[in-house]
Amino acid sequence: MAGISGSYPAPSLPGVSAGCLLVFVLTCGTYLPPMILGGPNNEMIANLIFKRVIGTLDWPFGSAISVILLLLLVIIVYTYNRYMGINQIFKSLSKG
Amino acid sequence: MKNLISGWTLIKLYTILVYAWMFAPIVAVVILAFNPQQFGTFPLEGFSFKWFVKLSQNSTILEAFKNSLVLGSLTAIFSTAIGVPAALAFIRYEFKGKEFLNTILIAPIMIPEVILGVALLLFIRWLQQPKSFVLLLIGHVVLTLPYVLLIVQARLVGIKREYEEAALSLGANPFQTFKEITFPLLAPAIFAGMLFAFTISFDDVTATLFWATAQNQTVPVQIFSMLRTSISPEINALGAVMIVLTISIPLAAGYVARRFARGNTP
Repeated sequence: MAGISGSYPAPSLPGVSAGCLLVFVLTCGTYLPPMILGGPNNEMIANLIFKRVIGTLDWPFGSAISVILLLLLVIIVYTYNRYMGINQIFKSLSKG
Repeated sequence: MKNLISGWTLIKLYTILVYAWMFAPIVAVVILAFNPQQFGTFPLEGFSFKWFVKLSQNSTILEAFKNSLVLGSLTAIFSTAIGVPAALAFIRYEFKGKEFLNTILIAPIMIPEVILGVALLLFIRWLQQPKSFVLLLIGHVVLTLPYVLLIVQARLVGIKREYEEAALSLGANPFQTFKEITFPLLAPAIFAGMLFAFTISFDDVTATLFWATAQNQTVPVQIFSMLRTSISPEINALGAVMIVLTISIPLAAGYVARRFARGNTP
């Protein structure tokens, strides 16, 4: 048990953390699942953006939230990258 | 020792549960597509191709299918046409700002599709152009380019420079070298990239909802608008067709690519 919780996961940790971040970022901008599977109270930010931009043609509002979402994600990715190293994903993908 | 065995059993169980969680809904859709009743119940009360027949008579769906196929193919062609030279430049040459440019090209993977959708829409409005098929195509190329780039780069790293250098030192010009040496070695990756681009374009909903006009609806967008109005078993049939297509095309292509690769591995 000591082996499993102690030394073993260390080499795979960057990959695990990069995976977590990728899932988080992808989920943040998800539009379809809350639309189809979610109830009226499960609206996510993407649904709001879509409603404003396509529904009520309120483009300035829509783009403002988009920018806020993008900034939030950039800050999160940047911070995460400083401590965990997201570039691991790209490294492992491009060095195959 | 006994503890270890039960640990493995748990992992096996867990694995099975994960797969069931992922694939049970897909299996359910395919099974319900053959259900003759309007409302799906298990076990099935019969077996029919009724909804598939109805589907093939639906002109909106057929039109959307045509759009999706054309769009997917063009996206695949353009994405690889841009992605392959870019990958060559990033792997084979040194220039200023290389890392930065590479990151920028790969960034669309990390940016939510909604933001890409809004951004391109605003951009096209700024240029005072109407929404069109070309806009949809440009958008899909942006969405798929990172995947093509990553796949081709990965393969290119594995191709030794010595092959190219040998060709060059034997008197081939750079273009001949690419045509005779690099391209054949790279072909499986280019093919895989095209396939990726096609499948992603064929499946995309979120961004396409922003860019599509009434004239160029794609199949997923059509399914989405059908879902909003009613839950018709036709959707199950259409879903089954989409699933079969998106699974069988890569499988068939993978088979072809493997035969192809066996012919000219160095």
